[in-house]
Amino acid sequence: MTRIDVLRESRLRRTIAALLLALLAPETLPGQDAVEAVAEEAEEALVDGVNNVNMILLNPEQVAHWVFGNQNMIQRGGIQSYRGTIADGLRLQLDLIETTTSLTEPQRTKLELAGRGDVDRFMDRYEAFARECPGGAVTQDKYVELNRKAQPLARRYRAGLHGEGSLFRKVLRSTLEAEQLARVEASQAERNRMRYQTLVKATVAMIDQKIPLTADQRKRLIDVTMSETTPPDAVVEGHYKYYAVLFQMSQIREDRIQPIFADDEWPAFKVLMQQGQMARGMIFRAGAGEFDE
Amino acid sequence: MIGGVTMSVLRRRVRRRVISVVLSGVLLMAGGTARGQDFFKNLIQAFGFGGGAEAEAVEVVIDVAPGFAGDEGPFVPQIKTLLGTELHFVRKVCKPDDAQMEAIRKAGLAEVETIAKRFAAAQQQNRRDGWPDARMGLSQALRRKIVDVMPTEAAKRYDDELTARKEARTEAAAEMMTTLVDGKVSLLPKQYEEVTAAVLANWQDAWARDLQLFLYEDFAPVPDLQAINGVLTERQRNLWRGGHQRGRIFFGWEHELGLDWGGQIELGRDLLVKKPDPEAVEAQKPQAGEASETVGEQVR
Repeated sequence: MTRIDVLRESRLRRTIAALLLALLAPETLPGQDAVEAVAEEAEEALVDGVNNVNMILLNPEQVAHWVFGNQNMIQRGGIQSYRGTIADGLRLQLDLIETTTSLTEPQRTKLELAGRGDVDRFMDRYEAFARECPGGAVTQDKYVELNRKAQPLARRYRAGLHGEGSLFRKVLRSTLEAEQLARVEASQAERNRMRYQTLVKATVAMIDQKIPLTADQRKRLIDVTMSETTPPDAVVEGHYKYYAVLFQMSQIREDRIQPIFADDEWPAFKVLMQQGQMARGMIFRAGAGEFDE
Repeated sequence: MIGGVTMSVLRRRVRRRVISVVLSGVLLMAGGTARGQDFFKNLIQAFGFGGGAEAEAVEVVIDVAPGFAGDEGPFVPQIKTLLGTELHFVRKVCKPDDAQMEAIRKAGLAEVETIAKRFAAAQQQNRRDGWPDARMGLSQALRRKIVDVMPTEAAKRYDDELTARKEARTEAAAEMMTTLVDGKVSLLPKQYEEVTAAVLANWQDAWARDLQLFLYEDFAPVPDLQAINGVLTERQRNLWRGGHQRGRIFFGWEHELGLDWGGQIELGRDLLVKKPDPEAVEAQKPQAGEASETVGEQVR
């Protein structure tokens, strides 16, 4: 039973108790004082119960879990283990850049410094947030408020600390030669394209459950989506990713996409695209650069 | 998830039943036979203030509603919806005539009952990993009938499409896994295909059952380090070793079958009912002044 169920049930009990008290008031039951005493006792127990239900235990591991996600790692190595993980991630980013262009030692040093700056800045923000979180039991409202506050940090962490809006990116753009930068950006664009293509294929496989497609239809739908749309600029999270692709599909000219579907399938596909359009606000809000400076 | 829903429904039923019994008691005793404190304490107990009373009631209701959990009935409409979609696919790929489609439809409906029973059994045993793949079951049953009643060429077309569908889904799931690996360890371009190939070499069909799982990186199926060990660099291996999964997540069989997202789409609903015989329709055409009658079965 969830906390909300418990609360609903408590409210239901309270209402019923009040109703019965009204029904049973002095005319029908002798010993009013005794009845009231029992009712008060019950009410107190109920209030205690509701209060207990409202209190949630919040510890530092939980706060770290909201942001970093990996409970096992937090328990094994403490929060500092994330600094090491993020540092490894930074080195991998540099490795990736060096597959497209050779970096001079000063360039690599500058980028490493910038990357570490991003890590420090993020960890400072995290630690400031963690200090805001009191240990021990907190009210349900407070818990929800803090959890909500953790979300921009969590999104930033999941999206990578060295992406758009980071010091690393800024230094990359100012440190690399134009030709080097063009290569790195082309490589990044290709990676984005590959990731988007994977997402499009998965979305088409999801569509296939609602509108079973032939191999030819699947191929044409993937091809037209890849040729007529681009990966969303924003980082789209969670289950909105498939809706983001449906939204992109809805932006394709009808005469390019409709011929893929049989007459009785097209209205069904339009229903799916409408779902993408309806989710638009969520899709792009989820990816907004709210952490950027 | 299903168990949770059922329990919730049952609890509501229990609550209604308990409330109605108690309120009946209140009304009966309102004449003055009740004696305050004891009676009120009993009421409080009945509403669970005293603890334990409700839990017992829940158990009782599970017993007094035998067969509900094991009844395949609730699953049939959903699986029929799925059958309609699959029959639409058969019509598109094989182009059967009316008699052929009728034979295929009957085979599909028989399989709906079989699958519904297996669903009911899975629910009764509360087995989250035991739900049959309904779509696969239906398409295999339809395939057997198609081989019986359709020309070889049409049956082969259907076979090829089923194979291609499975391959496309597997490919999508494997690439989504690679994307998750990339997100953690920044794969180099040449590693992309290598990781996908390593994933496919260790493939488990269950990984493609619900593609939505791949959108939740902490819960998505991911390859063991052993499977991709040879492809990753030492630094990447260290990162991957850090561990990612929080556990498994199961959104439910309706989700797995795509029935609970993307709005209400029921392709092939017309194919779930027997197509009326034109002669019978002609014969039953209402004469002037007569009421018309429906020909053919009704969709449940």
